[in-house]
Amino acid sequence: MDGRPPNPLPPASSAQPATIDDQRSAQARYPALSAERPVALPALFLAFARVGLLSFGGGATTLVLMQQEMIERRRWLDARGFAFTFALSRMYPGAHLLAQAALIGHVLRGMAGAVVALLGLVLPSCLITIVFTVFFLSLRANPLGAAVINGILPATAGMTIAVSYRLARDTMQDERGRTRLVTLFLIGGGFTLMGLLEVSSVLAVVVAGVLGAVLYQLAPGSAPTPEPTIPPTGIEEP
Amino acid sequence: MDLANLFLIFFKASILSWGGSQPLPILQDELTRQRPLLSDQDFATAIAIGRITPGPNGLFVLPIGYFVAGLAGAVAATLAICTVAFSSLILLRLHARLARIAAVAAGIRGIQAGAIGLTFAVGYLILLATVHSPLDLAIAAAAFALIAFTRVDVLVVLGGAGALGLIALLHVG
Repeated sequence: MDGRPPNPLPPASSAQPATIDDQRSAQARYPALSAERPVALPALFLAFARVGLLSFGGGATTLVLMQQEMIERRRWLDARGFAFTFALSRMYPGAHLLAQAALIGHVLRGMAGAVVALLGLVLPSCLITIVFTVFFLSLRANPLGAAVINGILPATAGMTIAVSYRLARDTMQDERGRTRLVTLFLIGGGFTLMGLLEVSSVLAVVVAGVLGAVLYQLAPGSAPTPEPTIPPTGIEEP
Repeated sequence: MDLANLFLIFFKASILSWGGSQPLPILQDELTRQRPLLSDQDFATAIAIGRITPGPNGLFVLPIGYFVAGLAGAVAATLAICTVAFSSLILLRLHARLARIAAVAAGIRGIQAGAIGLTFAVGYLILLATVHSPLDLAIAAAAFALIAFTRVDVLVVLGGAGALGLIALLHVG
């Protein structure tokens, strides 16, 4: 075995079964996969390390960098291959960008590739984050540093609410009628359960899932959102 | 708190959430309310650190883990979110079948919407914990407006807020 997964060439949109043409052109669409030489693991690590270290400002940046690195700079994936890993990562709980890195790694180099891509994305940024955390703690011990942090903390609250606001706005943008009401109800319900009633957040997540499964299917004309097929549309966080 | 339990808390928070920033509510619930492991101030500080440092969303779990149990806690937290991410590989086998089940798609959508409500709650709870003066409230409101309605960089917002904190101290002192 060359370390490649057995079936690395699924259709870009998982909602539609692959056509014969899709299968036939798969080799052409995934040049890296049909290449004689598989992607080298150190190169895979470096590519994702670069993405991680340049990702200032959150998820949207990481996604754009990952797309540039995979499609344009390294030419390991084409847009459809990237969109496929993007869509899959959004179907799964957890940190989507980490999942997408693992999925891309697996598509390129099997299990070893998945591990290396994930480590590449996470390790260098983690080291910097640790250094920063230690620095923050020593800053807090100093009265001037403590004053700076006291200014930053309320800003964190405002930013968290702002991010929630943007997520809500983006989510409801393409919804109308009763579907929109269901979303609004679930957002309000989540806030009320955790923020006001202090119900366990795990319970709130489960309740939202069950209510969503029932209510969204009852709302007329609201076919469940298909997984996005073009990468930089459903951006997770600003 | 032993590390295995800490790992499990982070694992649970990640596997029950959609997207990098969504484990926040569960972590806040588990670590500050159900167990007195972390103050609201530390929690807010961890979020700020996560926003300042480069890296994919969700690495705020690192400072949270660090505040609870030092370096080992940070490693446990990072391992937990990576384990969840790694387990997504199972979708390479299951995705075609799952995507056709309407109830699954609707349920995921419900969790996403509910989770937005939970992040509103996190912001609200941090607000209650960190706003003690009219200046604090003004900083929070300005940060909200800048991030919600403009494209100002997070670093600028946090830097400005830190400067205001410093000015307030020097002014009062």
